[in-house]
Amino acid sequence: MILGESLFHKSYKYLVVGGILAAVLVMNLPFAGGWFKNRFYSLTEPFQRGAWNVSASVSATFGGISQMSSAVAENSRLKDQITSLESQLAQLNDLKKENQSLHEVLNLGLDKQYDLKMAQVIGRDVASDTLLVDKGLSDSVQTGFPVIDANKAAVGRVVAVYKNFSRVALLTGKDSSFDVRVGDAGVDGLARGQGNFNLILDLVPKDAVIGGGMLVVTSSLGGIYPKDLVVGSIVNVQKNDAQMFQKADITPAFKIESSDSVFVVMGTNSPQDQAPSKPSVTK
Amino acid sequence: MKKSLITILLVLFVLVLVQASFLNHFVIFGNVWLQIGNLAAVFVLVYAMFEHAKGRLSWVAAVWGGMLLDLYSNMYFGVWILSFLALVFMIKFILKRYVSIPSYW
Repeated sequence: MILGESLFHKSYKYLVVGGILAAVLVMNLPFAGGWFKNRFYSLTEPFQRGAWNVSASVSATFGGISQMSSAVAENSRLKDQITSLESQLAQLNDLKKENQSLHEVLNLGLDKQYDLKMAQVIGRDVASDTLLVDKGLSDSVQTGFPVIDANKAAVGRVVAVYKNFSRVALLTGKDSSFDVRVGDAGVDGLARGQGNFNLILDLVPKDAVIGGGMLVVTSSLGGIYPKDLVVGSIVNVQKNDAQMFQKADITPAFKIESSDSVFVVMGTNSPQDQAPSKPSVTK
Repeated sequence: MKKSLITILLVLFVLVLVQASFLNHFVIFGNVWLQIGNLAAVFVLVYAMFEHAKGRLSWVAAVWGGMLLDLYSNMYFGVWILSFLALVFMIKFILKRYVSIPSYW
């Protein structure tokens, strides 16, 4: 009897259905599920990594074509920004000189500020805003650890850890909400993930002055992320007299399509920064 | 049937791999490709629609495709498997009851 027929033979039918249900139940147990997923990721990692790298180079070549329609509007907006940025540049040049000398004295750097572990992105969840990275329990990564990119932009938090891999929930995930500060205005607010790589700024007092292009950084208030990580920039402020707070959309600074590696913040070295929230091992 | 089964398993594996790793880098209409379509779901749907009424391989495709998506997902394990099984059941039910489509395999 051939395989497919034997599989669906009446006497086997209930056995197969029962087997599937049992497997599903077992896979939801933290230890069994975590172990199996880790083995599966280990086996498929070469394929995933290969696909991710090939895709990165292909998209770098052809990706621009799909964005042509928005490029014209973007170009016009950027020209306006250049004008305003040029005036700021003159002021910043003076500050830069001062800053450079301070940097030399204090020897500040990202690696000095945080205890970082570099991780390669090897995949993304097909349903929610999460990443799979190639560092796990064996690298001392634990749930709750913040994840940033090379430009000090917040990426998300570790939500599940396997032996050699971790799952990182992006800032834009539907369950994500954290305290932020609008850089230029010093206004506190709450950033909420909307899923689908969308992020909004909420709970900003109505009388606070915020506008498009303003930088949003993490605040130490919530204790989720270290402070002053770049979250993104404000676009499309929504202010309504009937509501107590104003809202705005945030364009995340972290770009998933152009990031192959991220950094897990294992701890902060600076006493000024909020330490990552107390980690706990889930898997 | 054995050959079709192996083909389905391989095709679904490649589709899920492409979806989880490859399509993330492509942005279309302001969205990452991944957010627009679910290749595995489309495959299972199309296969179930064009399979012979008594064909059983779409059930295997539903379980295998669902399992792969569950493995790459952060949701409870089994969500995709059950969704795909429900999808196949629905298609089979509708096709059997109300529609007659010429089948090719």
